[in-house]
Amino acid sequence: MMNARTIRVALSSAVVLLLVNLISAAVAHDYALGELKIVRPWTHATPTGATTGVAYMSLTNTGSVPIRLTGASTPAAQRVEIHMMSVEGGVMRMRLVPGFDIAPGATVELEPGGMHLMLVGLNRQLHQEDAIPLTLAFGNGATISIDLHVEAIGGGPSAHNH
Amino acid sequence: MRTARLVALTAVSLLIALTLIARLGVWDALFPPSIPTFGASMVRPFNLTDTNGHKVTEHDMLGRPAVVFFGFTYCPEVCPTTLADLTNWLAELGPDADRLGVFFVSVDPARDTPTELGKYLSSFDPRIRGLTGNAADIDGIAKAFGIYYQRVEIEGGGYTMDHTASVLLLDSSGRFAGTISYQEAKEVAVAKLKRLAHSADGA
Repeated sequence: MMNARTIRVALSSAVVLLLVNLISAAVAHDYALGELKIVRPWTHATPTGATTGVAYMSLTNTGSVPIRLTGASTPAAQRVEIHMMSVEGGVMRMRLVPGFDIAPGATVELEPGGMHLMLVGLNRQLHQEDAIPLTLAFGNGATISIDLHVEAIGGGPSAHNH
Repeated sequence: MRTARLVALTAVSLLIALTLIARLGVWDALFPPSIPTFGASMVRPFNLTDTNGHKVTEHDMLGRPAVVFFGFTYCPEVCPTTLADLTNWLAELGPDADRLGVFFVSVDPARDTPTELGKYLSSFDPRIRGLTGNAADIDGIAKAFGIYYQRVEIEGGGYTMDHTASVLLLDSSGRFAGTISYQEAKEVAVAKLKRLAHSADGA
């Protein structure tokens, strides 16, 4: 028979283990550029012949001045555009924006159903588990090269969490 | 004169209003696509082409329940995600999936030739039949199905398409039987498709 204390110890060990796993999984795909944290950049695998792809990530400004994302580029596509996307009343709408600001302390989520980077003119098919290099450019002239982790078509880290 | 000024002002305002309506899609914003009525007949005569170059008409969409999604291959997110979802849902349905006709209709026929569409759809369940055609025919079927779509120019070249992101469900007589929303939960979507697959059972 297990007593309450044993159960408590077992449960808290399980919780700690779970947290350790979650944190290491997250850290594996995270980047930092000064006060900016880039968490879990990823993309979808693309269908055969597809010429457009997307990039998603979470951007957090831990500093005290706004950070502006002004553009991005990748060797896998002709160009990268910043898009606002919405699905309202059953209609998907997408608009190009020249960039966006991340206020001090704020997090901007690039995610399915919302804002994303669109890879225009893909020169290769994106396969699940590939890493696609992407360079982000910021208003202060800083750039950072990151890798997008390729998830299944229609899949993604968010799908695992829900 | 006062009257002359008023007339001129009215004319200019009208001109501005008409321009806005015509140029900026204000019309579509003011009058969004109508909400279809359950049981209303949706299918009108059409002439489209599948990815093998075969003619497809409204008769190919009748006789068994149909699942219809409108999109385009340059679509970065909603279309590949929905086609991947459809692929998973059909797998989940098992043999019931064969009771359904599944169609992906291009709203961008200028770029989605039968060949391009075929290549794109080869990444998904082969039962998803790709349809394209000339602009007038695409417009006809989209209107009949209450589908909104609009070409949007991108600064610096190229364009994208805004479009209805829901999957339409039709019974075997081509009557509106519901929709599946973008990112609808898998269990809900599969339950809807299962019900649709068996909707002709009593007939």
